[in-house]
Amino acid sequence: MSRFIVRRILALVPTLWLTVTLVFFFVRLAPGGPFDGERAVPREVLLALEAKYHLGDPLYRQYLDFLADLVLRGDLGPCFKYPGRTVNELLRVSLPVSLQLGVMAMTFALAVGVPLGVIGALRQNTWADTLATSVAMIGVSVPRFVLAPLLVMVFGLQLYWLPVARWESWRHAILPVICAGLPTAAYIARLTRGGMLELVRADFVRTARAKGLGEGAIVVRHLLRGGLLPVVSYLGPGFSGLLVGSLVVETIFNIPGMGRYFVEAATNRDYNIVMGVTIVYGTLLMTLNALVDIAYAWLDPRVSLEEL
Amino acid sequence: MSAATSGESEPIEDAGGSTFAADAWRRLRKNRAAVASLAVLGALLLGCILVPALGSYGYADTDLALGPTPPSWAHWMGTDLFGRDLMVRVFFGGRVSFAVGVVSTAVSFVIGVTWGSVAGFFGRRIDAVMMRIVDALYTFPFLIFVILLSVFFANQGGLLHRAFVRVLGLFTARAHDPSYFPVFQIVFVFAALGAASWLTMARIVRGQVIALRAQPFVEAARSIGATEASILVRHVLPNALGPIIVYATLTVPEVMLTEAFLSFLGLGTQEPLASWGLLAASGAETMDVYPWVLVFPALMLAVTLFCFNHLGDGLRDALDPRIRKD
Amino acid sequence: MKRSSLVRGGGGGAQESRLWSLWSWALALVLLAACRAESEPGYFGTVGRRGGAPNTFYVNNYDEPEHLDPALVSESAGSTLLLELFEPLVGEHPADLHAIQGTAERYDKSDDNRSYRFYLRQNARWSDGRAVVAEDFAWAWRRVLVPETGARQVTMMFALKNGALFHRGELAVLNAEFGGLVKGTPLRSYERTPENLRRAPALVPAEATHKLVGVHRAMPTFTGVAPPASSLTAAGAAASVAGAAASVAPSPEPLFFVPAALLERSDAVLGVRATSEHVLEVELEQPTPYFLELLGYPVFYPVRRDVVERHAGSGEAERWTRPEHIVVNGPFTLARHDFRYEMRLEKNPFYWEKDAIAIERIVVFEVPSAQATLALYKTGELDYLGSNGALPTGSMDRLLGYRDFGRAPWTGTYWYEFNTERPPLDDVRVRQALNLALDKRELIDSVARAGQAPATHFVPELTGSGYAAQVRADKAAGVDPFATRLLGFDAARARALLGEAGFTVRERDGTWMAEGFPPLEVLYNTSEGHRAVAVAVQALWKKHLGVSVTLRNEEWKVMIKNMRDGHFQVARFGWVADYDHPHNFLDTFLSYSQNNMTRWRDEAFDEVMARAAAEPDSKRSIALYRQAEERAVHAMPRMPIYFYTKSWLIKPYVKGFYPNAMNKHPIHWMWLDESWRANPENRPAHVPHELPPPGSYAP
Repeated sequence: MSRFIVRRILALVPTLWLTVTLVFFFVRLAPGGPFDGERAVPREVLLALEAKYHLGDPLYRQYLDFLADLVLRGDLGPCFKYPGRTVNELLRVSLPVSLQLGVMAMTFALAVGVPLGVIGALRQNTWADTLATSVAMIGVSVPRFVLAPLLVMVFGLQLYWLPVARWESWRHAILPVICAGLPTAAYIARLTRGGMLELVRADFVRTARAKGLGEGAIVVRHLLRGGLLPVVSYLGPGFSGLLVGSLVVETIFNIPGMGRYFVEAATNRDYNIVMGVTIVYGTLLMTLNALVDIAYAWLDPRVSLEEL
Repeated sequence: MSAATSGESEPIEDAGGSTFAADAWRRLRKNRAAVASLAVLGALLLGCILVPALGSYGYADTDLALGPTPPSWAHWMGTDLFGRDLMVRVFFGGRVSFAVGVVSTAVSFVIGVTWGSVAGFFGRRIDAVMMRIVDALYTFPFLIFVILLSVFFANQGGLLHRAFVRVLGLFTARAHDPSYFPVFQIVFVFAALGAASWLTMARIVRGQVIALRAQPFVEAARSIGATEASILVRHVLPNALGPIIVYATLTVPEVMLTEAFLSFLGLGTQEPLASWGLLAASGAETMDVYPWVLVFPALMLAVTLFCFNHLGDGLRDALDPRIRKD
Repeated sequence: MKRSSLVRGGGGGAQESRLWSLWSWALALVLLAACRAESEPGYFGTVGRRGGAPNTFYVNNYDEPEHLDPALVSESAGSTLLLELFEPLVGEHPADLHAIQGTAERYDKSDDNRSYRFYLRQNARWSDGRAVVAEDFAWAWRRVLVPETGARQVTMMFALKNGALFHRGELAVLNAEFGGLVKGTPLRSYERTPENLRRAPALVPAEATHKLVGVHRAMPTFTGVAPPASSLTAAGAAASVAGAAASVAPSPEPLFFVPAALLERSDAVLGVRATSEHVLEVELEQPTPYFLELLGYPVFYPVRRDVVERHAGSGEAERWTRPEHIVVNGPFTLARHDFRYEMRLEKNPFYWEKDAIAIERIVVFEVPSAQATLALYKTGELDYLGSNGALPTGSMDRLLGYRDFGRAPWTGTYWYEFNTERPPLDDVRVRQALNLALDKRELIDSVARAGQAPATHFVPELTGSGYAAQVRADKAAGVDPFATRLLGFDAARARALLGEAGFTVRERDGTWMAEGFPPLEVLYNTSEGHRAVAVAVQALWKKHLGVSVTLRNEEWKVMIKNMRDGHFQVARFGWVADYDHPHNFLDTFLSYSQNNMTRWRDEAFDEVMARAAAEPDSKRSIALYRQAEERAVHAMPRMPIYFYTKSWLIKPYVKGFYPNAMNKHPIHWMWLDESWRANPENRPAHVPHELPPPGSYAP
């Protein structure tokens, strides 16, 4: 197990390096610079700004400096749009918020999705199945940017039940978590239902039932464990999808998370933020995938880590 | 697409003598929800083809003096902020959304199934190498890349757009016409979304194949001398089809939604073209004042995704070989 | 296991109908919800405060300010906040923006409008208790001009005598006696162009270490440094400067060489200095008629040298604006700053007039979304939307009737720029035809939708500094050069003009066709609003002129780059006033302006502008500006579309808020009136201190 984890961490390095390198040159090749704006920046000021951020240096030099700062000091450099803020500071402030939202939304998605899926599979074609499927359908069929304003309109502006924006108390989290988590919950419900339906008819389940094992025990011991496999596969991309999807939710509810930087930093040509976001996101994804593999092995006795 | 219909493998015979595909089709037909979904999808598709072609308005025809009007006899779905007929735009947008959803899913299906099944079935070193590649690509933050690419290079006159214009120039002299730009944007979205979504497909297929590989029936097939390739194609893949179909049907709406997401960010389909995502995104802006501008495209999108899901369900049941074994 | 398909087949229909009943339940819930509204009739939002602390003002700033350093602020997200944090030398009356006391209690002014002397109040304090002194202003202004500071709005400081030269590093003093010139003589360095070298009479030294300089004659009178002595001819061989003695003689002055090591960058001849703790003297390059207006712009705010310099060496100079470090002289201090989320401003305990400020604390949201802002306002979490953002266009019609909604004209102009080097736009008749063919009224009514005024020219008609008065006078006399009948929508004349330019416009099947006219490409930056206007322009040009237009949208940075490089035909742009004077708009037409991307160059225009800026009589100056504008309008390098308006929502219990042309709404003038229902009158939180008329000043 530990060898596997070490191997995974080692695999992270070249991939990250590749990503960093690609993105580094990508952003600098793009037209427009970080200081282009409505009012032309006087030449002398522009030169001073470029000197300050070493943007006048040859590209390879900037690249090596960036790598050195990153590797030796974990320093992602300054942010151009907000001078005096470092990218590290930006991420330190925004990443926990995004993670918080992401974890809450994922918890919500699992808490809603798995039971819905289980009910759907066990009570196939009953009223309960229809209800469960419908909830899942709504989640899958309505984009977050339609769902969010709808929820705001009803629960915030008409009923005055819940706050309409910002990130303060637990009450502020309700609508964003639902918006962010519902599509994921719907996926999970469908995957759970699908995965369990596969097993409901499997031989070993019939054997178990024939042996007189109770329904509850069958569900927990056999069906859930195996039926959740597709869900586990989905957790990695699902969580990262949540983080990216939270871009919409963060925008609409004005949550000070990392999502806003995905597009904004690129359009602002804020090179270092683009790098920072990419690195954080990449690391997160890779780690999650490794975790998913481990969980997969734990859940499915047919798979050993040796094979992964 | 499925193993059963691919040319090189013999159709699996069942007790009744009918082929696997025909049997599946027979079962699908009995599933009314799935058939209804198929019918609705067909009707929608037909509408998307016919309405913009036969309608008396063009999808880009503006009538500023008219402005946004609620549904009426002249405009069944009303008009948008520029006085454009919403019905024509919605069905025109449907063409784009359908195309994006289906084409991108097909791309991801072909790549993902091939990749995942080969890796999962042959295991060991092949698996390690192939899945490391998938891992690497996974870590590659694809959506960020799509965003970065569209911001930096898929803009008008950007690197990718210039390349597109050059290729287009081989076919038409009007390649530089900026009205081709939205077409480029859609092609870009196809490619980007297709490339981004095959990874999960590969992982799911591999997971299934690994799980099935250890099953007794594979051992049995091997013991009677079946080749590895035929075991994979004939025995393993058909048994893995359920989750694959479920995932593929989920991919279509997912891709449609991702396109909508990109449109919400202003990076997907561009005006004056339309997609359901773009229409819903701009409709959401004014939903409190002109609700119909949101309602119709959002409803179309929802119904389509709804039907795709039902169809997926039906297909899963119909294609599941284990039901047949009973 | 049972075969389930039959069962399912039977259940399909029922399943569907159950689903529909679920949907209709959801719909019913939404409708039910829609019936419940908590707001008072006539008002868009609730009128009761929800959980807001007393005397705390809740406002949205939309964006995170890029800077809070007055020298660096260049966008409204920052300048709006600085209005509360810093007190300028001269303030503005909240109602009509006329100059009132700021840190200065009174001032003197020379007859030629080139010299000012400001008298600072004795009791002005920084937020750490230290007195505000004249040097705090002088140092801040010099700092803005140093390129390393990175001030993007540095050009405003060029109003100061020698400001531009100082900024470009062309001003120096001798740090030792040289060639008969005394130590401290101000010199101006020149580039070694052939023309300049011709002006250097004698040898050109081989050493690259020598700099080509001239004796700087245009120094302010208060520097105290004597004009150069006449003994220059006695200079050594390295610096042959014959004739420099005649430095009072006609220009161009002779140039000579000085070893670079002897030159020291200097602000000695810069037009600002503190002559005592409470007296600030200013000398201007030109009789800038809008100088008092300029003083309201952040680059002219004072900063504390010791506070700034403490962080200058740390590598993160900007840290001095963090709440734990910042020292300000305004009514509020920065108490808390949650980056990109919220700021808290607390009343400055040392502010000289703190007892007159009614609001104790300002909570500043940074909610970028217009929809969310509306929602927060509606539910009572905001008292005022904030001056820094825009209401969603789509919601305008709905908001119009509410009593907490307001709208005022705003000094900004929305225009389209033509690339005047690209055919067919290089023909002025084509540009004029395009302008005449655009029905701006229809465009505003159908897409802009915020009650904007159609524009026939570039400077908003309510611009201050005497411009608005001139507009009124011209209109009354019937000599308005920008009258609608001359420049307004006239499709027939537009078609005739286009015909003259060689593109005959004919009618075919009820639609117009401009023969041979190549399709135009309109470039705009990605945004709903700009797209709407572009679509409208496309439709209207097609309708009235038969010109076909393609649209191209680019992201802002890319568009700016392409415009600067000339890769465009027609592009969306606009301008919002930084200070209340026509110069602000018209200098973007100057042939050498970095903001002129149209490639239109007109020497006569430049010349009239120079005369206008140099004219001490403000009325004649405005007339000259109008003359310059007329030239620009007739050449039509840009097509004016509309003059901006500003719309807002503010709770009825907020008093001391006044609509004004510059969209400046300082919260320190506002107060919360508990008894607003009974008491409809509006007044600022305290009485503004009027400036006494300027004393006379003869430097």
